[in-house]
Amino acid sequence: MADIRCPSCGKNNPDFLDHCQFCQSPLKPESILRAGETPTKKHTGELEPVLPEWLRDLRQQARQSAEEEAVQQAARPKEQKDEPPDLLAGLASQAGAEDDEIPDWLASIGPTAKAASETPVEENRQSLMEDSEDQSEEQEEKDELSAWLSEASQEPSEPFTLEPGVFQDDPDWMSNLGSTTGSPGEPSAPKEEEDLSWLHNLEASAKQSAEPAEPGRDTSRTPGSASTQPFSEEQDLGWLNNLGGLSEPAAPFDPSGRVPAQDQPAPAESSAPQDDLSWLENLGGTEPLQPPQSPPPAEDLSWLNNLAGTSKLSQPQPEKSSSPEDPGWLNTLGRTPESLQDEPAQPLSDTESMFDAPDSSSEIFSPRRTAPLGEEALDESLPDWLKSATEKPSMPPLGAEGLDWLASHDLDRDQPSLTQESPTSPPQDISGEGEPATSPPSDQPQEIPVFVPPSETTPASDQDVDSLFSMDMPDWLSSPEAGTGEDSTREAETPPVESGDSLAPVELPSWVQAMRPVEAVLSETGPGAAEQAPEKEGPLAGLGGVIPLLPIGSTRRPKALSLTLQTTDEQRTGAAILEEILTSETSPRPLVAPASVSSQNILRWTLAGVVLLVLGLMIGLRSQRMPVSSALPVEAGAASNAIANIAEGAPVLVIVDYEPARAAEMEVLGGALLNTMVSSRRPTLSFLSTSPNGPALAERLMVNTQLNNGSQGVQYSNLGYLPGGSAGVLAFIESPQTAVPAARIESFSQYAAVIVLTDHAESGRAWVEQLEARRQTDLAFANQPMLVAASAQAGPLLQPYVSSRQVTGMISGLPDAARYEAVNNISPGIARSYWDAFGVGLLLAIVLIVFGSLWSLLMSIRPRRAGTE
Amino acid sequence: MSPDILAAIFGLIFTLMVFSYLLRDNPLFRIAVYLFVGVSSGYAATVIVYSVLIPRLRLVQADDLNQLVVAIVPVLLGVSLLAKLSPRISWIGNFAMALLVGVGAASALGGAVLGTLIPQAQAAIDAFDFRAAPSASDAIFGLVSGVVMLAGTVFTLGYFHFSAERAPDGSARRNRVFEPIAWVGNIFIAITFGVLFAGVYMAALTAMIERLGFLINFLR
Repeated sequence: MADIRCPSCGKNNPDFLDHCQFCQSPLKPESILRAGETPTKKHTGELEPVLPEWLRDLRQQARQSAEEEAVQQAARPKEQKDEPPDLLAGLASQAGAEDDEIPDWLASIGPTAKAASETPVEENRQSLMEDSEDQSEEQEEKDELSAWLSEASQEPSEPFTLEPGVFQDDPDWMSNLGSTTGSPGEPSAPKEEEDLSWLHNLEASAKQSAEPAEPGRDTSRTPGSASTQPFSEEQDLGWLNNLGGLSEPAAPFDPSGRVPAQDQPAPAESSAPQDDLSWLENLGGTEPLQPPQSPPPAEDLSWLNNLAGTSKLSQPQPEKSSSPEDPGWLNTLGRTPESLQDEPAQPLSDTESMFDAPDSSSEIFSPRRTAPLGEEALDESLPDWLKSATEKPSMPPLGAEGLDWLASHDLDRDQPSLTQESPTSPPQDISGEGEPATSPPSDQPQEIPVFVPPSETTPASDQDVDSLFSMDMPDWLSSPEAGTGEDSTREAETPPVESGDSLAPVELPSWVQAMRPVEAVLSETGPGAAEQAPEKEGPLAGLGGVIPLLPIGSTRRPKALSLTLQTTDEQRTGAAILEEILTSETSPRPLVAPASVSSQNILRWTLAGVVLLVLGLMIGLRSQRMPVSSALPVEAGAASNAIANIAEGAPVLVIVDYEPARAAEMEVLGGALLNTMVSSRRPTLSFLSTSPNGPALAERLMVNTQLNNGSQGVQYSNLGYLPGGSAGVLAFIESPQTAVPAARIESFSQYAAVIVLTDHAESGRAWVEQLEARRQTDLAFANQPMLVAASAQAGPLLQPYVSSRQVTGMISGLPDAARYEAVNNISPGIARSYWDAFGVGLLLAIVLIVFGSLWSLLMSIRPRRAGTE
Repeated sequence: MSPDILAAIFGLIFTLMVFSYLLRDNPLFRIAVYLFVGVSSGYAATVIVYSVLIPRLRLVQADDLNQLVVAIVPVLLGVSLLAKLSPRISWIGNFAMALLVGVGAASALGGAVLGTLIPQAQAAIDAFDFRAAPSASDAIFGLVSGVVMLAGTVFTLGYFHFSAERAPDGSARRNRVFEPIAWVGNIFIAITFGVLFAGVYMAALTAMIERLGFLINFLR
């Protein structure tokens, strides 16, 4: 058989080992199972033929009993466990749900999950206690080793196979740790009659060996009996060691120990049970019980040294760092599933002798019963532990302090002095047995107590066991378990209450942080999380800042802001005024109808009727009786003279700038002027308008004034609309053809006369201004007459231009037109036809104005007189 | 029915609709007014297209670059004015609008200065020039007319001098010199407004006579 050289310690190991038997370092890269990884299933049943006859019989019986028990359990409904009212109880129940996701920390602790999933928790606890009681009774009559072996013989020796998917689904692996024993109902007496000589021989050989068995020698001593089955069983025990806080296996691997080999060295076997018990001690060490004897402090310390030495006895190299924060502990946990199959078995006499659970989990750990034990451990520690475990339950009630022990690991680790005073210190048993617990672990591993004394001082009761194994250990609570074996042992011995002040603040797990109240709700003036002392007891022991010191209801609330606006008196006054204005704007106001509306309407209708009646009568009568003055105004005379001076047939520009509403008046004016000119000079008329309606009005003018009558033979052209206002007028004066392409003349000065027909002063003034400006620069325009026929309303405004001689002549309104017709003998002129009606209308207007004025005067005098009288 | 008769009938109807305003503001009057405004606007647009745009574009010769430029630039400027319809792109028509306002203001200002201010000032001065009077009576008439014109101008301008000093009792009171000037100016203004009102009345009366004559003649 080839040897494998350990890469860590350099010592040779058998090739079938995955871990170094000296330093427990992984020999093969694939044998390393890290946290979160799934262990690989390995078949070790083929090695069963190499087992001795008696062991095979035991295994066969165990299989049968396991099958029967499995059938019985399948038939029974699973009982619901009554959880104590603690905070973590809910977590345990939640973790047990199949639908819930398995946390990583739970998945990494795989080996026990399978057993937990297959074995009812309640039954395991019952079997635990029954088995403990039975053992206590039998202890008086039987040999301790024989009793342990009898218990162990009930366990099936069938090698277990790990199913990662199964053990990850069960979070109650803690409670099933103790259920690896056989069923309590099976009698153990027949098993005692088994041949145990091999075990005694093994113990004797272990005593003879002064040093730990070396690998090469061990393998040579058990050449052909080596099988993989015991390795996996020992691996189970190592997993318990890891769980109990020991980062490294307490004993080196001994391949010969898996079978009743005489030359199997004891250290591995003797230390393994001790580690298991130390772990149990840690579990149950939270509730200090009064020990029967108060051990001296010195002995406690020595015991602690021994405990620490158990993990160092067979380790040729220094133990790895095992601080509480060391993540290597998690690696150890994650490695346990694989090591259960590969590593050599370590005795599980501690658990197997206590628990008698013939379930599937017992199959997993059953080979550990066959593991050889050290002589001293078997002879001394095992019976005491079993005896004390059954007689002195020390587990605290779960609801009270069932979980405090978990937090006490950190507390006790920092206060070793407290552990000396602790009444539950395990060295009592060791010292009581007279065995030196301070013996060098490397040289005398067999002298190290197999079982941890706390099992005697803190025997687990039913309730304690429930709280112990039914709880769900979260990752943050398991992290302190990663301490060294020495530290964890010390921590387990110290009650957590006494060392609560020295708890180091730990990092809150995610689920605890989620339970914390929102920081915004907390008072800002309150102490921060860092200032708060960690909790001393309860499930939050060791955690600081989780619960605020001040109750949530007493937190400081935001300062109340006054909703009243701080304003001054002036601002209030202004606001009141503004409000009043807004109110007055929005409030409806009653419309006060004037009382004189009806009278005004009547007056208006009366006046309109009178005017219409008079004018209609005058028009209907076609009266032309009213005389027309023959004296022309100066401007009208000037216009007549200008027309008389126009050359015959000369082009005359007629500007039509009036609105259709004034067409009647303008047609009267234009008709009188144009008729005189056409009749006397026969000019060529060109009509242009600065109003869009001008071209149509020009045509209407020609029709209504009868200028287009063929008899007169007038020639005219309608140039259309001249856009641009003043600019257009200027452009047309500058260049007629450019402004109006229809113009037939090249220069504006070629027009013999310019006649402007306008009803408002602005349009007439534009022509006057632009033409006057042109006259100042061009002498050709100096003799060009400009005549204006303005409406009666525009005449007075254009009179200044006539006075300034900018306008040669002007006739304004119907009176000038009638006079002009009369002077020029234009008959029948339109002006003359309107003259009587126009005259009556003027008189009527004058009468009405006078009458109205007098009426107003009288109406104003009457009140005054009435007041005077 | 001849178009003249139809035109006369529509003219009669619309005339009566306008006269209905004597009763009160009514839909008939509004309809008539809207129709007049609409017809006038439509006619104006038609005149602009057929009397301004088309004749000018017809004159543009394609082979003459100068005429093309002269024709295209006004068209582009005119089209840019359509952008004023949308506030978002109204800036496009700013240049054309600026051109119109600038040219219009320049021409109006030049015409006002050269055609109104200077000639009117010169005429006011010439009113006192007796040399131009052909006779003594004309000179006297011209002088009186000039004095009245000057007085009317001065007093009217004095009326619009609203500067006043605060009296001891707190009331505002015009200067003692300007107070009679303003009073005389008020008379001139009243006469002017009377003349204007008379002109408006005569213009409206003429239009009314024409309409009544139309109605009477149509009914006959």
